[in-house]
Amino acid sequence: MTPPSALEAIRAEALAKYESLDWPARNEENWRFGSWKEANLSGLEPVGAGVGIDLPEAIEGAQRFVFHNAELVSGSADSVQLLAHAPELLPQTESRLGSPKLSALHRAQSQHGIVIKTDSGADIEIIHLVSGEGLLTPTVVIIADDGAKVRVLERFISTNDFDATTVLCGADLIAGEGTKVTYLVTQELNANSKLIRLADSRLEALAHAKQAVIHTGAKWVREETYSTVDGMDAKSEILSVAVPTTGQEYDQRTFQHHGARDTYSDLLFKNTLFGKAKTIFSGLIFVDDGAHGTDAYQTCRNLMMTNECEANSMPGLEINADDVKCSHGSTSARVSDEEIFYLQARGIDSKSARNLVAQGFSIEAIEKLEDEQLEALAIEVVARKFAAIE
Amino acid sequence: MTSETATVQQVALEKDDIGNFSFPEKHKFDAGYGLTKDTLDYISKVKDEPQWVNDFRHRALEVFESKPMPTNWATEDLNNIDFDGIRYYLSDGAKPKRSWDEVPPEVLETFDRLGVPEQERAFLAGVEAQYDSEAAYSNVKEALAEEGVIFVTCSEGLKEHEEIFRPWFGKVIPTGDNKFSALNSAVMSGGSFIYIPKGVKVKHPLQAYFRINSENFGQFERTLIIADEGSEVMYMEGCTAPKFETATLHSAVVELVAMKGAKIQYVTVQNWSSNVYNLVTKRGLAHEDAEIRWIDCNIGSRLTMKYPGVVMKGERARGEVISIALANDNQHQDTGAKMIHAANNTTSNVVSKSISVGEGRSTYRGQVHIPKHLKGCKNNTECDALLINPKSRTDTYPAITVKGNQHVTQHEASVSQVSQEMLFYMQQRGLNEAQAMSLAVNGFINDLVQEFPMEYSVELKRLIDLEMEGSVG
Repeated sequence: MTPPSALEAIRAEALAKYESLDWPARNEENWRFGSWKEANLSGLEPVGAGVGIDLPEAIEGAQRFVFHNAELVSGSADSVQLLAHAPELLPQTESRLGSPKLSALHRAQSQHGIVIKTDSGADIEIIHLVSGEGLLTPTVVIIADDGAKVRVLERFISTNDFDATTVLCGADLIAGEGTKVTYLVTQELNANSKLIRLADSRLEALAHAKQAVIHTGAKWVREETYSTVDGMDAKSEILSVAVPTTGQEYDQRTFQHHGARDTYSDLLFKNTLFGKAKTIFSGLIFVDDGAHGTDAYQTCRNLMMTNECEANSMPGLEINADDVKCSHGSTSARVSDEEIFYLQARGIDSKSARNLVAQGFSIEAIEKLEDEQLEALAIEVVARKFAAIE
Repeated sequence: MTSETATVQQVALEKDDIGNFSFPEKHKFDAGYGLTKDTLDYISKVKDEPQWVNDFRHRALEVFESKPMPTNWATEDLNNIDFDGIRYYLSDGAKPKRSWDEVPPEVLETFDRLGVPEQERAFLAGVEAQYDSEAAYSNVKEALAEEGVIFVTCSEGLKEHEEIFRPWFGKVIPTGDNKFSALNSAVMSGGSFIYIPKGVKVKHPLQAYFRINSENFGQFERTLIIADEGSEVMYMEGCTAPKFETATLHSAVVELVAMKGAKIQYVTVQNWSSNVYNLVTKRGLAHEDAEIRWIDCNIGSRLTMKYPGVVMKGERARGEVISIALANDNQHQDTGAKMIHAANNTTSNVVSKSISVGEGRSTYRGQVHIPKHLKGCKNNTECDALLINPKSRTDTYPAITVKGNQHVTQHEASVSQVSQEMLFYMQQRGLNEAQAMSLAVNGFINDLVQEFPMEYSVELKRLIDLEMEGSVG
């Protein structure tokens, strides 16, 4: 076991880096259309001790870990390591999507988190119960080796409706050869909180990873998802379902990096915008020189439910190899009148009809998880949001 | 090599490819190297411009100097432009007479293979200063004049038709739009001014060739086309033959104004030599029921940055960009489209196809903007990229903003290559590999080529054949 001073050293180094960097600014391409001012967290103090609430139903068969803010209150640490005990496993990741300062801040403040390192398998549920005014910096590291099969569910839940908590979280996934990883994150924070999520993943040969996020809460979300497929026949799937309404802005940036031959990645983002919601999607498929035989797809669909919502899409491609199949698509549209009419003709009022169609729209992405328990949970979270909007 | 050509060499590539050569030149008017306030005064004096134009130039220079290079999103290669090594105003009067002996044989061969008409060859090679089109087109010119069409140089336009020219000049693309539109506003020379009166439908496409003017292909040309209510016009610039440039920076501004119900089609075919920075701002303003189409083909150049745009200001206005780009070794085609919907029920369409050959890089950059409180706006964007060789490169960076649920937008892009099966199939039927590749590439852009006037599309096909040579096998 590494002495705690090792983590201290990592934090001190990150702090120096944090201090040398600037906050995001107006003209940065990675912050185009985005609220760069929201990312300025200067002067924010860490939150204090957290509190508990009634826990949601557990996922059957999964080991549950519950955090009250930074404190682990339930869950045995036998099968996982706590970050404080294994800081050497914290990957050194570069934030390449616009937030190096936030990434350094996260590292400098890192104190709690879970490291899941396995060469056989793991089924883990992590619940962050979040409260208090200030900054919270949780971490999840997943290192899967030797064909391990790993399933992780991570939930962010506010314990009350009013605390303005800023959650700056890191998620690092290394999927070794032949592993299979399914990782679902649900964000159910209150309407005053912010979430900044910096996710980085690397897939080695024959690895297959599905990463999904469900966003229903928070007033502002900035999510940077960097996925590298680095070995032959590696397969990365990235999914997102977001249902924002008035007062919510979701800013999601993704990078699908193909670093080896014959790799596959598929991204599907589905946003359903209510009220005066605003979404930003910026995605890039990047194919390295020599990564021939790449298969990469990227789709962002925006369903516009009102006349006040705003969707910004920047689907990008950078291809430096040939013999590739790459495509991206982005659409913005509303529920078609035909669909509404069809449901109305069957006795469903127009508002319910619209929401029914919208929920079906979200479920299309959720179904790609191909895990009944996680799908059911994701649908429940989305349905709760729809019910709250109605 | 003479001292004049040193400018070219400062930023030119070492690569000795077709078109990358220069001639000794003598110019009657030469503003010298570098850009200062005196340069602007010199240009104004030579062109005998009114004071307001001179003031306009000076304001633009200030804007140009105050704006940073847009390298926060664009390529760092822009930093290699040596603004002090450029002559901002050359010519008029005595253009050089080059002899055919000075033209390299491979260029002559290129003309042959493209089937460039004899008269045009002399002009393009610089053997003749002017393209002698008087005889061929005098009838057309007469017909135009009868209908009240104004078709003159930009300098004539601002002096002799100020009442029509000035209200729209710099309105579609303000000086401060970007660093290079500011540069153009400071040192503009050449380009056309066209006014089509109400209800006039010009039958023949207008070409810069028609005008007997040595400034046709200026470095900093400025074009303004105004189509009055219900009128129609097609304008064509450039040609498929390589244009031998001694100037390394080409920065044009083109403004189109389509009044109620008018239609403007603007066709560009350009084939620059690979030492040229081609940084062009093009935008049209479409009023009620008007239609503006940009049909654009970019081949060659070291770096082309060109994003034709349409601002749909009136209800039911329509904007369209059809674009073909081909990037070969050491070339970067950074092209795209900008569609700004500013009224209800406006529609826009963007179809872009790019081909990257050798180590060429092509980029699509697009913007679609549909602001609040509008309804019934539609945009369709398609961009397809074809990669020919293992080192070929392509990028796509669209940005789409939609507010409200009364609109429909869709964007699709794909990247592909010519499949081995397709090549094999054609080779089996007797084509060699290069021919098979050419056929496949021509097939890829075929539906867009048909949008070009007939003679251009024939030349384009031959040009693709030429560019594809040596790219396979």
